[in-house]
Amino acid sequence: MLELLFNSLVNGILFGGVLALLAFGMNLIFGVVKIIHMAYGQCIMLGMYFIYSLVQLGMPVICACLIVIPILGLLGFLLQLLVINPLLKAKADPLTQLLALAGLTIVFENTVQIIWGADIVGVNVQFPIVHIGSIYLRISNVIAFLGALIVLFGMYFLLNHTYLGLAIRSTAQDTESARLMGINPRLIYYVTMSIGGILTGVIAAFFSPIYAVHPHFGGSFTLTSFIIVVLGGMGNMVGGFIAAFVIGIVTSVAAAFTSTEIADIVALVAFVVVILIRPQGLLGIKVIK
Amino acid sequence: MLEIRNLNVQYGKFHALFDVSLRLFQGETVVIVGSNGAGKTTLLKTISGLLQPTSGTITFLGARLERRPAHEIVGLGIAHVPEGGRLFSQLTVLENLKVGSYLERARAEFPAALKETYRLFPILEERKRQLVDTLSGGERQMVAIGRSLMSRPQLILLDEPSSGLAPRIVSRVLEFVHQIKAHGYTILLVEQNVRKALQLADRVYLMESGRIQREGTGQAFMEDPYIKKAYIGL
Repeated sequence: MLELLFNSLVNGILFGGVLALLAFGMNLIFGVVKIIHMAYGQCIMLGMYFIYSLVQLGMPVICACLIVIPILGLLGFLLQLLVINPLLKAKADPLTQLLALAGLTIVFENTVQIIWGADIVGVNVQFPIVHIGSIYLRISNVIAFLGALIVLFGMYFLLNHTYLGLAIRSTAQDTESARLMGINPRLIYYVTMSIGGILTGVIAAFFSPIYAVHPHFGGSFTLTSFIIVVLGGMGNMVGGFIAAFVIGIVTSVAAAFTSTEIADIVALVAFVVVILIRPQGLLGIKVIK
Repeated sequence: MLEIRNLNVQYGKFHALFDVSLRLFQGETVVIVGSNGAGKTTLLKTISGLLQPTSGTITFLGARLERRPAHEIVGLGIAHVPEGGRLFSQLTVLENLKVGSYLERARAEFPAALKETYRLFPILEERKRQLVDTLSGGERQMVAIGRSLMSRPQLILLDEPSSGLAPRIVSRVLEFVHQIKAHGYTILLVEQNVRKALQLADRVYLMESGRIQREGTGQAFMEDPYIKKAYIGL
């Protein structure tokens, strides 16, 4: 019993690290471009299909991953150019923006279904399972966890110690004031969406050895990262980081003692309870109107 | 240095500025007085590129501004300190000043500009690690003015630097303006506190309902019976 709890806690922390990276990208996009990227998980799904196809063509998994990461960065750039810019230009209200991006998920999922079919496919790489004492660890999860933390640290450095990061944070806080500093918000939006795209590529690379992919794979990850972003306090990076571990641990522990289906319910209930008590999220700032 | 000719600005159907013309010479401090809604802030926003005029021209050191985006106009040497400062409240004092030197040409001069700003406002050096949210109103205004100096501007547009501050602080903030004036910057100041602003001014424009109604020296405005009655309250 204690062993099970311990194992699920460790796995929850490992999962939480990946979720933290997942939610970071959505949070960044929301904070800067002020758009809820409803097709975020679908971009990851697309990345996993790209990796799968490259591996099918005979490429080593690691090369496939390294190629797909910049491709998804380009996808982020194209989304800004073709979808988000026209919405911003037309001063579309938030509902229209949400619907446009929700529509994009349908486009992505059905395009994938036409090209790759509806069957579950996956990259077949076997990582060993090691056990330290009574704790069993899947090496693929450990790699994803460590990789996610390294990428998050890189993002932290970028945002806090470079002029580009300063420009991104300034634009997030006050676009008009940022323009008066000589910052071109348009350019910052492109950069942010490209970074968001690169992050979906990185996550696709970490996910490929862990999960098999199917056309509707992305939806649950869009939902999970949205929940984490809201739970942490929208636009709050530290809050999102903590919330990712909360969701990761709750899901993992609940799954160990019940089933994976019940675990999702438990995580959502935990989310609803927190939001009822703190509508602004864990570290969100209360907006008084 | 700056020449504005027949400027018209509209917000949708609302006509905010009518045929506004004014000029500023190098090293001058020019004050625009007028009541709320007269179009003073609109004028500053149009100069800095946050708003686009429907007609008219703005020329700064030979370059036309009226169709340029705001981020390019800063690069030409115009810094705009909006009303209330519009600081980045979640950034520290130092980070706010650093954003001020975001421009390519200003980055290399960041250490020198920072030194100068700290010399002007020594308290900012003590507070450099604090979030600007934790500063007092007067200190925030110092950050706002200091941040605008970081881009190494030639012309500074100041929009009501004393608004929302306690009367005792108002005099101090206008003292800051006096200090930067002494450093040789050209200043276009919009101010509600007419009596104090006029003491700083080389020349003054009076704006009413989107039009320039009068122009004169600070001294002439102080003695003008209409200005005294309507704006100084003597």
